[in-house]
Amino acid sequence: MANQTPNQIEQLHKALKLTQRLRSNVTQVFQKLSDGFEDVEKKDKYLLNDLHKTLSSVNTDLSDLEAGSSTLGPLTAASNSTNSTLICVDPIIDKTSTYTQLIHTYKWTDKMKEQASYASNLLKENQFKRTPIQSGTFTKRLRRSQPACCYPQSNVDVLLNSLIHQYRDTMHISVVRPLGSSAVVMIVLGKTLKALLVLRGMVIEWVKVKGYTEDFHGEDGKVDIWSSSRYQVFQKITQHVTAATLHYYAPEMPDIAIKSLIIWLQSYSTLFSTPCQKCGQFLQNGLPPTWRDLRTKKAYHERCKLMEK
Amino acid sequence: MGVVCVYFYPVPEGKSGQQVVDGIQKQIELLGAVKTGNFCVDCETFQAGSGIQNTPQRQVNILHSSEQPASCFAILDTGTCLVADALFDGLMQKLKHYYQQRKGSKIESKGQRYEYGDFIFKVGSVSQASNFKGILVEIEYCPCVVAGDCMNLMKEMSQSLLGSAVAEQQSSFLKTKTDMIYTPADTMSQYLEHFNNFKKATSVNQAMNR
Amino acid sequence: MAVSSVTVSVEPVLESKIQEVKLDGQEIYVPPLSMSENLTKLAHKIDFYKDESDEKGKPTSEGEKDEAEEKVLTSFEQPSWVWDSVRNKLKAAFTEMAVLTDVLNIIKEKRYMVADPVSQDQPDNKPSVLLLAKKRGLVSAGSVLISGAERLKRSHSEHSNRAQDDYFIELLKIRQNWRLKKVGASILGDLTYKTAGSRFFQGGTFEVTKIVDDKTDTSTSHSRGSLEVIIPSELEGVAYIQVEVKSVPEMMDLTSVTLKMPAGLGVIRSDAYWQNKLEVAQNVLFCKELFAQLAREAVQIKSSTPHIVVGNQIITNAFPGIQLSIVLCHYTGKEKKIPQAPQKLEHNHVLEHSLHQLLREVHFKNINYVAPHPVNAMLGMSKRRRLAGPQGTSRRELVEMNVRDTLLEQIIKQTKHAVLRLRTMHVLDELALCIQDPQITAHWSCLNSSLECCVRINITAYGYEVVRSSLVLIIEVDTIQAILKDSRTITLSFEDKALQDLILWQISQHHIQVVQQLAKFHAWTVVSTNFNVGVGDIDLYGTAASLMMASPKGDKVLAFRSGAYNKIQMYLKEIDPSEAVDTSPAVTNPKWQKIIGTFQAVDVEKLQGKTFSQKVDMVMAKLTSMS
Repeated sequence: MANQTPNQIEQLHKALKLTQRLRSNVTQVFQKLSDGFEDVEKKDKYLLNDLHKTLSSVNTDLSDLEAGSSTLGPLTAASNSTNSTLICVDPIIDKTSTYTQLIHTYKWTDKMKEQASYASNLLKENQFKRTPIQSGTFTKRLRRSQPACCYPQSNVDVLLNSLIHQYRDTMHISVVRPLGSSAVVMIVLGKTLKALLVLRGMVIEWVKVKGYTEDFHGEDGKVDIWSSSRYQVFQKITQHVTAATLHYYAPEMPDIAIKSLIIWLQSYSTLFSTPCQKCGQFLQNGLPPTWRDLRTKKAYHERCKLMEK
Repeated sequence: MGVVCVYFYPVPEGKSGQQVVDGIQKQIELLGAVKTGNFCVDCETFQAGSGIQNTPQRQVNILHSSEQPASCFAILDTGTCLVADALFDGLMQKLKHYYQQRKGSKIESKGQRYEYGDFIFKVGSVSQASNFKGILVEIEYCPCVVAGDCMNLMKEMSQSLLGSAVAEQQSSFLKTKTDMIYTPADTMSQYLEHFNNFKKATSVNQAMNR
Repeated sequence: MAVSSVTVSVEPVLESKIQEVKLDGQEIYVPPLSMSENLTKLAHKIDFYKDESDEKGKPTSEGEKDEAEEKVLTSFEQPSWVWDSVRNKLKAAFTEMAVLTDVLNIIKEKRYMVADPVSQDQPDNKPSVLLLAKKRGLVSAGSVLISGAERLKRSHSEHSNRAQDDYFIELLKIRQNWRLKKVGASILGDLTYKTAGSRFFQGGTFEVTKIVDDKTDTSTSHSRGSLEVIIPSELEGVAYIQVEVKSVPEMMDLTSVTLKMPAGLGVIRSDAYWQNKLEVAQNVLFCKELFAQLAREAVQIKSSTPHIVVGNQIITNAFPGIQLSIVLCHYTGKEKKIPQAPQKLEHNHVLEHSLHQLLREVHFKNINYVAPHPVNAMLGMSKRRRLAGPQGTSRRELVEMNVRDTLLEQIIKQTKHAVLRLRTMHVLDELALCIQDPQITAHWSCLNSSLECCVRINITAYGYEVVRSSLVLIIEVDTIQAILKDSRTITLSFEDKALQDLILWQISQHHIQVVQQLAKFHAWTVVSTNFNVGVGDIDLYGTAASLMMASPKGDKVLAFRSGAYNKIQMYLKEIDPSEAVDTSPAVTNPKWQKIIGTFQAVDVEKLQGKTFSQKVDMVMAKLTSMS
C-alpha cells in the first residue's frame, strides 16, 4: 500500500468515503423501513418521498462508487509475499503483536549491524600491524595472483633470456630443464668460476659454485647438482652465495632479486686478483678474499668482513 | 690443475743443500701445511741421430711428473710440448734407432709434497746422476687457471715462505702466458728451463775449473 | 687339326616318363629300366631274321660259305647301325606327312577334292548308363572328400584334448620368457641374473618337465597347464630383504641384539603357474645375492663403526642410538609352524628399494662397458679416464675417478641422511608448534637426492613481516650445515638439541632486529646494538643480543637483552627533567642530565599485546610524548 502514489491514495480515500456514505444511506433506508410508519394514510406521500430520496441517494452513491473504483488500479498483491506480511493480513491483528514485534526486531538488528561496522572500522585503525601491504579492498594485491615460486615457465624463460642477452660479454649463461619445471641455470663467469642455480618458479632454491676446470656433468653426462667443488675456495663461495640468496629474496619482486644476485655475482670475476679492502693482503688462511659486500661489492676476507661488521 | 710457479732457491755459501731443504720444509710446516708424501719430476733427453752433419741436432726432452701419473710430457728444444699418455715411453723405446738417449742426461727433482688448503708445495732437490745440483721449490695454486689473475697471490705466498728475493723471480715463460689458460705442460716447460739452467751452470763450472 | 678343348656329349634325356596320373594328383612314373631290361629292349630292336632274309633272296644251297659270310657280314653289320630302323620309320613318317599335307592343300582348294563329313550313327543315349556313370564318379569323388574331412576332424579333436600339443605351446611360452636349453633328454633353464651382469656363485638351474595327466578331472589340469617346473631346493620358498631403522638405548651393546624370526609368509603353492614359481625363485636368488654381498662387505671392510653379521641379519649403528638392521627373510615352508602372534613388520621401503637399485647398478656396471671396446687396450675405462693422460689429469682427480663406495657403505649413508632429515623435520615442526611468537616457517627445497637436501627457515613476527631472519640448513650424510644470513656457517652434529639451540638463538636475535625496526617507525634513536653481549649471565648457547634506544625527546630510554634460553628482558629509564639534581658547575651542557637515572625492569608478560613486537610497539607509542 505504501507503494501507491499519493494520487492513488487520494482516490482510495475517496472510494472509502463513498463506501461509508453508501453504507450509512443503506442503513438509513433499512432503519426507516424497520421503524415502520405510524400514519400511512396521511403521510404516505411524504413517506414515499422520503423513501424515494433515500433510495436515489443510495443509487447516486453506488454509481459514484463504481466510477471512483474504476480509476483505481489493482493492488499489487505480490509486493511482499513473505510470511511476515501474511501475519498482518490477519484480522485479529490487535490481539497478537507479532508483526509489530517483528518489524521492531528487524530495525534493531539493522541498526546494530551498521554501528558495528563503524566500530570495526574505527578499531581497525589501531591494530599493531606494520606490514607494508594493506589488507583493504582498495589496494590491489599484485602478488596475490602469482606467488613467486609458482611462476609459469614462460615468464621465467623471458627473464632468463633477457639476462643472457644483457650479460653476454662477461658471463655465459645457459638454461636447461632436466629436472622437470625447475630451471637449472649454469653460469660461467669469465675464466674464474662456474655457478649453478636451481630455480623453483622465480625463487632460487639451490646454489653450487665450482671451479673453471670442474664440470657439472656426471660420468653419464647428466647434470649433477649435488657434488661439491674440490677446492676450498669454491666451497666457501658456495656458502657465501647461499647467504646472498637469503638476502636477495623478495617474493613481491622476484625478477629484481635475481637480477641483483647476478650483478653481485659478477663482482667475483676478480676473485684471485683483488686484495682484501680491509687488510690489504691477498691471502688469509690460504684463501683469497671470498666475500663481496652485498651493497658495495668490495672484496673482503671472511674474517675481515666479520670484523668490519 | 692450477697455476704453478717453480722457483730456484739458491743455496747460500756454507750451507749444505739438505740444510736448506730442511729449513724450507720447516717454514712450510709452520704455515700449517700437511705432508702428503713424496714427489718426483724427472727429465730425460733424447737426441736425434744425425745422418747429415750440417743439420743442427734435434733434442727431445721427455719429462714425467708424479703429480700427473698418467701423462708423459715431450718437449722439443723449439718449445713445442706434447702431453701424452704414459705409454709414450714405449713409443720412444721403439724409436731407439732414430732418437738416442744421451748418456748421463737424466736429471730429476725429488722431495716432499705438502698441501695447505688449495695450495700444494713441493720442495725438491735436483740431482743429476746422483750429483746434487740445486733446489727447486714449486708452489701450485689449484683453483685458478689463468696465470695473470693470481700472480700477485702467488707472490704474496712465496714471499712469506721463501723471502722476497726468491719471490721476485719470474719465469720468462710465464710472462708470455698471462691471459691463456694454464696447463701442466707449462709447468713442465718451467722445470725444463730450470734443468737446462742447471746443466749450463755445470758445464760453465767445468769449463772454468779447467 | 682342331684342338679338342670342349667335349660335347650327347645323351638321351634321363627323365622317367609318366605312366599314369591318379585322381588325387599322384603321378606314377615308369620305373627306369634296369641294365638287363635295357639290353633286352635294344636286342628286340635288332631283327635278326629280317636282315638275313632280305640280304640274300637266293636259295641257301648255293654255298654255305656265303651263308657263313653273310652271317659274318650281317653279324658284323648289325651292331654298327642300330638306328637304321629308326631312320626308316622316320622316313616313312615324313613321306606320309608330306602326302597328308598335299592332300590337305588340295582339299583346301576345293577344286579336285572335297572333304565331306562321314555320317556316323548317333550313339544311343542311354540315360540309365549315363546316370550310373555319373553316380559312380560322384561316389568316388565323395569318398575322397569324406576321407580327407575325417582326417581333419580327427586331428582337430585331438588338438583340444591332447596334452601333447598343449605342452608344446606352453614350452613356446616359457621359451619366450626364460632361457632354456636341451641337455640330453631333459630341458634345463637358467634363473640367474648372469646375463644381466651378476657374478653370484649360486646357480639357478631349473628343469622343465611334462605333466602326465592321469586325472580325468579337467578343471585342475587346466589351471596347472601341462608344464611343470622343478626348482632347485635352495631357491624354494619366498624371500625378501627387510631393512629397519630403529632407535635403541644408547648404552646397548651391539653384541646383545635381538634376533628376529621372520614372520610367516604365504608360501607359493606347489601347483601354481610356472611363471609365478620361477619369478618367486628368481627373487629368492636376488635377495640371497644382495645379502651375500652386504655380508661380505660388512666382514671385510674396516670402518669406524663395527658391523655385526649374525645368521641372516646384518646390524650396524648408523648413529649412536640408531640401529640399522638388514634381514634376509627366507621362508621355505618346511619350518615348523610356530604359533606366534603376527609381528608388525617395520619395513623401510625406501631403503629396501634403494638396496635393490644399488645391486642392479652393480650388475649393470659389470656388463656395460663404456665404448669404445678396444681389443688391445684395457676395457672398461671411461672416456675421462682414457683422456686423463693426454690432458694431464692430476693425481687427485685420478683418485677421485676410481674411488667407489661399497653397497653397504652406500646404504648406511642413505640411512644416516634419512634419519637426519626426519629428525630435522621433527625438530622444526615441534618448534613451530611451541613457539607462537615469532612464526617459524620452513621451506623445503623441491629437489633432493638420497644424500643431500636443503631447507630454508624464515622467522617472522606476525604483523611486522618487514623484518625477516632466515637461515639455510643443508642436511648432508653426517652433519647439518647451517648458513646464516651474514654467511657465517655452523656445522651441526646429528643431535636434535644442537639444531634447537641454533634456532632459539636466531629467534632471540630476531627479537632485537624487530625492535630495531620499530625504533625506525617511532623515530626513536638507537643508542647501541650489540649482537654479542659480553656482560651479564652467560647464556646456555650462543651469545645474547642487546639493544638500547632513546625516545625522540630523550627522556625515556629502553634497553633490551635477549638470549637463546633466557626470556627477553626489558628495562626502562625515565628521566624527569624537573628533578633538579644538584649539578656541579662543571657540568655545562644540559645533555649530561640525560645519563643519570636508574633502569627499572619491566614485566613483559603483563604488557598489553599478543606478541612481543606488538607489546613493544604499544609501549613505545605510549612513551613517546609529543609535547
